[in-house]
Amino acid sequence: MIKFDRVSFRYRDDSSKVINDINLSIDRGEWVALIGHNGSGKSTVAKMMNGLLLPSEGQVFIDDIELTEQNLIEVRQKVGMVFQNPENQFVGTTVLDDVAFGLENLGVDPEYMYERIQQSLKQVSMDGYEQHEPHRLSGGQKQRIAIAGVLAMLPEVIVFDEATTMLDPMGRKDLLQTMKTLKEERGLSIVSITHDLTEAAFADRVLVLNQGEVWFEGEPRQLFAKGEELENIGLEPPFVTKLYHQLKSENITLEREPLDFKELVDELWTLHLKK
Amino acid sequence: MDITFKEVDYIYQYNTPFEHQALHNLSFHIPSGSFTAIIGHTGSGKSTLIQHLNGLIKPIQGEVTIGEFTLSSEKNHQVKDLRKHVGVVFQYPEHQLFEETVKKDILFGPKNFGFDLDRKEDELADVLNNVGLPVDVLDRSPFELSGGQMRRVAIAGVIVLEPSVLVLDEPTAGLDPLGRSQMLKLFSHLHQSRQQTTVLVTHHMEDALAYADQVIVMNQGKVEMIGEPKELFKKKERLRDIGLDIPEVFECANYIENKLGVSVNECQSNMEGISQVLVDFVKAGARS
Ligand SMILES: Nc1ncnc2c1ncn2[C@@H]1O[C@H](COP(=O)(O)OP(=O)(O)OP(=O)(O)O)[C@@H](O)[C@H]1O
Ligand SMILES: Nc1ncnc2c1ncn2[C@@H]1O[C@H](COP(=O)(O)OP(=O)(O)OP(=O)(O)O)[C@@H](O)[C@H]1O
Ligand SMILES: [Mg+2]
Ligand SMILES: [Mg+2]
Repeated sequence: MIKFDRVSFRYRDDSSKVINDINLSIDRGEWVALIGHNGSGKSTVAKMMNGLLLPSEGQVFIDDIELTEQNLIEVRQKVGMVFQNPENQFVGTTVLDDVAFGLENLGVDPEYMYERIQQSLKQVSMDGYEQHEPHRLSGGQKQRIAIAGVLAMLPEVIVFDEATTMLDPMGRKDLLQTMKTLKEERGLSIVSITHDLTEAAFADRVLVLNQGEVWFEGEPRQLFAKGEELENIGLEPPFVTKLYHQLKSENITLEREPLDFKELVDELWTLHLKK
Repeated sequence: MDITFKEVDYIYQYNTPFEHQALHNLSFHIPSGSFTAIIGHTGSGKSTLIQHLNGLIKPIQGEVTIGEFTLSSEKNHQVKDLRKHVGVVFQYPEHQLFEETVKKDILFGPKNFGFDLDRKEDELADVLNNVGLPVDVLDRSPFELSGGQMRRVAIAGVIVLEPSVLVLDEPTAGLDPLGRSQMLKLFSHLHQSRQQTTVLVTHHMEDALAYADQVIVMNQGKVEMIGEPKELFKKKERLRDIGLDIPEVFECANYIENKLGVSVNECQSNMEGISQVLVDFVKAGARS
């Protein structure tokens, strides 16, 4: 679906590379978490996925077609993006206009359009806010509207650039569930940029950037198994990994690295039964 | 500085067809020198509440007192003086960055409030180090930084003012995990060493548990509960009903009790305690 071939990027001709010779691919229907320290290059990579930035060196392919200035419009229909700051994305004076804007550009039939807007506002629990001004909403409500705007466009891939940072605990859980459903039912591909390793655990695969280079690529479990090594690159092992670490120091080991505390406790239970 | 809200109402776009009441009859007290966390669902009124603390908005009804300052719909004379004492880090860092360089941005507050600029300039390296930024960002534009780097600059620009009240609206959103825990430690250190009053808005229940003396729970523009974090987080169902959750350690402790049938007492509700309970469980199994 998306492929980076030896991509480098610098913001100015005379500045150093912030992305250095990376290769990556996102398959159709795959959920990939992109993580890494502040300034590691995640947003820069995200912007190259939908052509907001073009590589300084190397090539980006969308469905095997090289992304160039000539095919930006088609690319953006396929690759939707929710920005790190939702305010950068608002164009309408009301929530309704804002979500409709993208659809009008796509030439969606007006009758069908209203339905799609309603549905995507429901998906983020913001139905009833149609007449509100996007700029006059709370921090988390703004994020929800930005997400609804992209969901309504029905893209094939959605890049979420830290799109859940301001959501309350339930809101975050609901959104992760919505993403999971869309992936399963519609084969949506998801790139989720996040600092929350619990959220990364939802992904099929995790890519870790460190200073503009790919530091790790693999399943979430394999990443968690790195334990304290994560601290060297600005990350921190999640709660379950720290807990498991303590158990290991008491010679209790499990068959596989646990992804959350439920897995850990469940495995201990099975172990206990076997004895 | 003591902070008191007395029957505060706030209405956005007051007296227009779009008016929207965001705060209803809020009353509470934040003792001087305390660390207070404010939690609540999206849109519950947290940011509206904290914007009253430096006079960015004023109550439509009722009164807010902060130390010697009083804010109400009538009185609002000494707002600049108040802002010298109350530093606010906003939810979106972009809202407080506007200078051409990071250095100018961080020094904007000190200059505006008539601080000794030479001394503040000398402190810059320290301040940057505290928020985890390299000194070479000083000459860069704040708008050409990554999201987490901007957040760090915004925090630097407020702590450099050494406010008596530090108000933080989701200050760790967008920070990498290590930066997040370092920043929280910094806030806690400043809180103690400067005897400052700290108000932290957060969606991370474990941060409220780890750092706060008092937690204010907001729900639909009203105070739903107020109390010590340990007591408050026992009310799992009530918190869930209003979009919140309990800290992961507590959730884990509950899960262990249900699944393994062993009890986890209150003082064991931390990483070490839980790990000990699990070790005992496995060892007991091995013996039987
Ligand atoms: N517009 C810009 N001009 C110049 N340099 C930039 C610009 N935007 C970002 N950078 C720099 O490029 C590097 C990568 O930034 P990027 O925003 O991709 O990081 P990130 O991984 O998304 O970080 P964060 O977690 O903080 O959002 C950083 O060192 C940043 O300072
Ligand atoms: N500038 C504004 N004009 C009109 N209404 C607003 C404005 N800002 C916020 N509101 C509304 O006031 C209510 C409270 O918003 P507030 O920003 O205080 O919530 P919050 O608790 O900080 O939420 P979040 O966790 O999402 O940041 C919300 O219903 C919101 O839609
Ligand atoms: Mg970023
Ligand atoms: Mg807010």
